[in-house]
Amino acid sequence: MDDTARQALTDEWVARGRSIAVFVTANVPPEVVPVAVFDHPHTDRSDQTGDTDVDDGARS
Amino acid sequence: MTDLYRPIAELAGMLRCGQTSAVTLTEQSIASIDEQADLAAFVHVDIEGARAAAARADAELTAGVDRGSLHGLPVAVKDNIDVQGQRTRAGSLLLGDEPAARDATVVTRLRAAGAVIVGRTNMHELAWGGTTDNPHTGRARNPWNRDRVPAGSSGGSGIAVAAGMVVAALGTDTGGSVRLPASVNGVSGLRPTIGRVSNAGVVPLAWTMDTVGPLARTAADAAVVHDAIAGWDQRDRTTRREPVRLAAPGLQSVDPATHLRGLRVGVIADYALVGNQPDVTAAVRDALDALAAAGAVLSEINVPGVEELVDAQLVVDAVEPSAMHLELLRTRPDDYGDDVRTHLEIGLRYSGVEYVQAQRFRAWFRDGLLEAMRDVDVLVTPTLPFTALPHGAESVELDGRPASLTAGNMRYTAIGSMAGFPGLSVPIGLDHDGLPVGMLITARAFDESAVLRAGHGYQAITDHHLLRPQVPIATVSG
Repeated sequence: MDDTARQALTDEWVARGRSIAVFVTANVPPEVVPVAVFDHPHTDRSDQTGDTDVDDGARS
Repeated sequence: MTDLYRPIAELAGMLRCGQTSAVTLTEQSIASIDEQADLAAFVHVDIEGARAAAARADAELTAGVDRGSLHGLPVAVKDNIDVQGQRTRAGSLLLGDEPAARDATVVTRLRAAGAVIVGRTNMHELAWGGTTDNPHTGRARNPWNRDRVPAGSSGGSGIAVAAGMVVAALGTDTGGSVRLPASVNGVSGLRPTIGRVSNAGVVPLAWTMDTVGPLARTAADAAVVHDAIAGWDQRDRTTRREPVRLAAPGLQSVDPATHLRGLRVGVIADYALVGNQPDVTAAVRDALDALAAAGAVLSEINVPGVEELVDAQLVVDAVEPSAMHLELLRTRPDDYGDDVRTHLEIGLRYSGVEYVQAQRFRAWFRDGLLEAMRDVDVLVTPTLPFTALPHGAESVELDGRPASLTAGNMRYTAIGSMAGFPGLSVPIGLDHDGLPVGMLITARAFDESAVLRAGHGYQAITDHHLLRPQVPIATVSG
């Protein structure tokens, strides 16, 4: 990776970080908390395929 | 001729009726690895250990001890996974000075299932990249075209399966590192839900996204390996306590095509079917047509934030490795390869606010994806917008315009990585250069069965998974 490529990559990634922070600030409600490892919400599929061979994502 | 392209279920039957032996299959594996050493798929082959394990497996079967579907079959593990007595280098100069004191949990479970661990596969340095062009362990080559990359970071595992060196291999997937090499090497690769498979004894990359998953010839074979390694582990507090419902038996019990009848498939048409190489879009359209013809119900869905997904993934995917390597990056920067050091240095440039906002984006995106998938069972996209790139490529042309490799690599795999959902890449054909195209099937958290059923059903009505790169013929016979 030459200096030009390295700088281009750095610029792109840094810009994407700035961009997502702005997007979240503008679009994500304040009550949304950061992801932890890993907090899948309860996913009730009882009204969907009838497939009971599916875990609900809850953690003990 | 090698038997290692045969399905696991067929090999299991051959072993039990005396048509082959674990020793024969292991010798075929060792010979195949040696004959295709130019692919640089392996960084270590444990010839002595594999031969001993194979002999034990044969003796056990003779004595009536049967450990199940993987009994006596040669498999490989990625170089960032601990195997007792071997150095875990993760493709780096910075780790693995001492041999691992114990097996990673996934290796313990593979051994308990009877698998013969033949060696460690090459990988992108520290799992932080997608080419497996490793300055320390060698440039891994795609068996379909040696001038092309095998993707990564589990590139060696993808090669090992595609080239018939093993029946399956473990990889790790943070931002796509199982699914991407599965796609470009023409094999099946499963990223499980975060929390489904233990990471204990695996070198971390990004703690909130890391997973361990199998690469195998077929969805059914990936299911066998998944069943062997999944489940709660007291060494990894992120794993789920509830028993795992085994995926493989459900695939074998009915006509595979029944898995597609009534399967509800979501397609983000204005995201997944645009901006790819034309051959990729065409192959995915053909695959969707095949699914529909087999009884699947396709519907277009919209997922809020999908266009911003790669931006958020980059922040998480960059900051966490930089935190992991903070001390070594300061004290031994010259021991990193150029690209990985650059990635790690960029990770230091993000602010805490940007990291938190990216993690909040994940929660928001995941909830929006769940809502969008309310009336579908699985989501289908390409695995990658392009097929295997030439070594050294730093950009790619998509729809006639130059595009960022970063954005391209993560475009579809980020959906599962950021939401924490399982995903299976399956081969769906070749492009005009004869390179494999992959389709990514993503489902809700802990619904590995859904992606495996869909993949297995698709492979029952197509034969793309049977295509092989041209490889030398292994010289060991049974």
